[in-house]
Amino acid sequence: METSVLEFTAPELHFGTISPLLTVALGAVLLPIIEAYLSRRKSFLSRPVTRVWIGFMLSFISTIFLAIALMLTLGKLSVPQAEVAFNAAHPMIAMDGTAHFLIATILLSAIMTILVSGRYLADVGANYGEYYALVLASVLGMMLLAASTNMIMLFVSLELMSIPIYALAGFRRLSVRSNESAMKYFIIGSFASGLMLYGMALLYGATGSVGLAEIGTKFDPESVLHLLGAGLLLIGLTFKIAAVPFHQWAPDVYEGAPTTVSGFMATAVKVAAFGALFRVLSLALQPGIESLYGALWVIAALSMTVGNVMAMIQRNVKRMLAYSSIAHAGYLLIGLIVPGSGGYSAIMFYLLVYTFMTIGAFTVISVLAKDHEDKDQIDDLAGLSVLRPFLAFVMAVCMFSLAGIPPFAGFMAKFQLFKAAIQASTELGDSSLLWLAIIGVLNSAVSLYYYLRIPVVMYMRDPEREADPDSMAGFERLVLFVCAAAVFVLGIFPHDVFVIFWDVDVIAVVSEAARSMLP
Amino acid sequence: MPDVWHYQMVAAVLFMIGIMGVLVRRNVIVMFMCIELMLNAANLSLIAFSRLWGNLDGQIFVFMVIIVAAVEVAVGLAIIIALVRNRDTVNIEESSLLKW
Amino acid sequence: MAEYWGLGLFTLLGTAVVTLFMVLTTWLGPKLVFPEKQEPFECGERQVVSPYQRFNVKFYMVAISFIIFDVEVVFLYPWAVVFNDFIGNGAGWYAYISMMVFLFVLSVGLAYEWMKGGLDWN
Repeated sequence: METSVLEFTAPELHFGTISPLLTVALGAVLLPIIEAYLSRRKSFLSRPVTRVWIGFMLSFISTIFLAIALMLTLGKLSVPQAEVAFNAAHPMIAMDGTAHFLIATILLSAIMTILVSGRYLADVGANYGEYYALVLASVLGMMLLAASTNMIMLFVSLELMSIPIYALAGFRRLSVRSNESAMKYFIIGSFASGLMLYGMALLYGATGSVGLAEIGTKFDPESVLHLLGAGLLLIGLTFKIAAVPFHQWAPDVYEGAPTTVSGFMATAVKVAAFGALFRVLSLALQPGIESLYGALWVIAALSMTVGNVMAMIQRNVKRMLAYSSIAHAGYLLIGLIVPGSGGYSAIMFYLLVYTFMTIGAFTVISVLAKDHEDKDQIDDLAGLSVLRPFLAFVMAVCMFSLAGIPPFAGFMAKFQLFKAAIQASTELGDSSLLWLAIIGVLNSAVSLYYYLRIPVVMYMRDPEREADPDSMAGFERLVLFVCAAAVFVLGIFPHDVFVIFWDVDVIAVVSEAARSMLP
Repeated sequence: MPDVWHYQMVAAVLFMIGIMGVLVRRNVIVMFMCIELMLNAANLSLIAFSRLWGNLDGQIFVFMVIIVAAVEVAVGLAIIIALVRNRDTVNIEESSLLKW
Repeated sequence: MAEYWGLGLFTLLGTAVVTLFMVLTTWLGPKLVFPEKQEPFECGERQVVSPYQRFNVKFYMVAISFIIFDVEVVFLYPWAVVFNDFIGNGAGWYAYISMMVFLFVLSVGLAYEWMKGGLDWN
């Protein structure tokens, strides 16, 4: 019998281009082994092995891996684009300026999350070492997702991001709330990936290729099959960014999950999913953008409005932040549907700023947890300025920034986003973008009510309980300080910061990258 | 001979059964099985389209989906077991601590 | 069509043998009816416990590990089938190392489970 000989040549691989990914992957593979090894030991280097010590060691090791990856990414970000594909013959990912910027944001979020997790997990009785391996695995998925230019890679990396997060949401396994949160997230998340996968199958059937760029050349906005596939794919991704009408899970999941995980979900998942949306819209669906424009417009407007209105009636800070994150997804979607690169570079900056403000707010809540219980009701914050002045200050800064009050970074971010929309609308004479910007501004005004309620409760009301002993770990203080400082500095010198640190205006690099991707 | 579009019809029907199952049924395990049905409908569709276009991308995609589905099953079952240990129910309507 | 005659013969033979045994058992076999035999899990033995009781959670552990590790064969099998073609194209080491990386990651998972006691029955 004759065997068919497959034509195949070993591709040339450039491992240097994916060094940050390899670092995180190595960490994700090694951490479980280290954890299992340490937890079997009675003592290590003549020091008794305790749970807390293992947690500390693992958070230290994972921070090192993430920090190396961050350094590598920042190094690539600061040199002008050397466009080398990892595997030029079969490109699955594009490590371009956009990807590097998003990856750096994701890594920052992950590092801050890990630094504040140790004490919180010990406090709520969930100090299992697997936490760090799960975070690293999820970060690897996010990094790939932000860079993927192929539907297979998009699906696999989306799942690699989501599946560890399902487990992380249920990480307090003795808490029924955490279990329920994990289960809801799991059912809804995998339902969304089912929808997305079917959309991908239809797109593949319609165009015969899985690469996003090739799909873009063959996409036909007239055909029902193409549009159905594109719609299902977009629904799957909007589930992940929690945009209305696919947002119902977010408040429940954020409330039930461990607070540090909620902060991680609200920031890193959103950054990665926006990276994927950005690539799908700009590469694959660009020819059909006019047919999808109406739907995206409605989703953006609804997300802003529903998110902000629902946030007003919350009594739980984590739920309030969840609705606020839905509203911010709406603001970000404005940038995504603005034609040209102005919107994209505004999104990049917004995501970075949003990461700092949200991690800061969630960290404050996680620090307040006491005796295996989250203190996450708004009433629990009463008189915090007297009890814990530093925490109250950071929380107030984050709230002002989320509300978009100058001179904080949130204002700069919103300003750039709305400016891009208004500019595009005057250039194109398209009033619908102007209306979207107006809805956005009105919503920011509405959001003042609930964001400012937190500082009011903290500074104007008398404390209802005794002062807790200040049990904050040094790392938590550091992360809170970094968040508050970043919110100030990015608000006052949005572009200069990057020039000072890396001799290059990163925002300009990213806008350039965004421009080069557009047809 | 059945052609590609017959397979697509079957895939679409399976997919709709999956969606309806997730939306209508209240037993977590059954909802979970319906999600697997959705993934497998997409797999069938991918395989048939792969035949239509005569390239292997769709089949490679299916391998990846099978693995992802298996991993999802493992994590999902673990989550459900954790819930059942604490709550003693697999009915999703009794999971109502988190509201509004 | 001619190459399918074996299949037809096999179908006929199978049907004939099954029919023969069914006829023989109804004709020759003794017929006793007692309560245990009428139960859903009929095997002539009295049930020791209710079939609706919970399974030991250890079975779930085995099931979960099984799902993970058995599905990985999906990748190994096609790889093994075309491995000779890879060697023929001078890409043998490339294919070999790729699969070894995959297996390494998989065995790390196994090692973790083993060290954590996931494979111990007690």
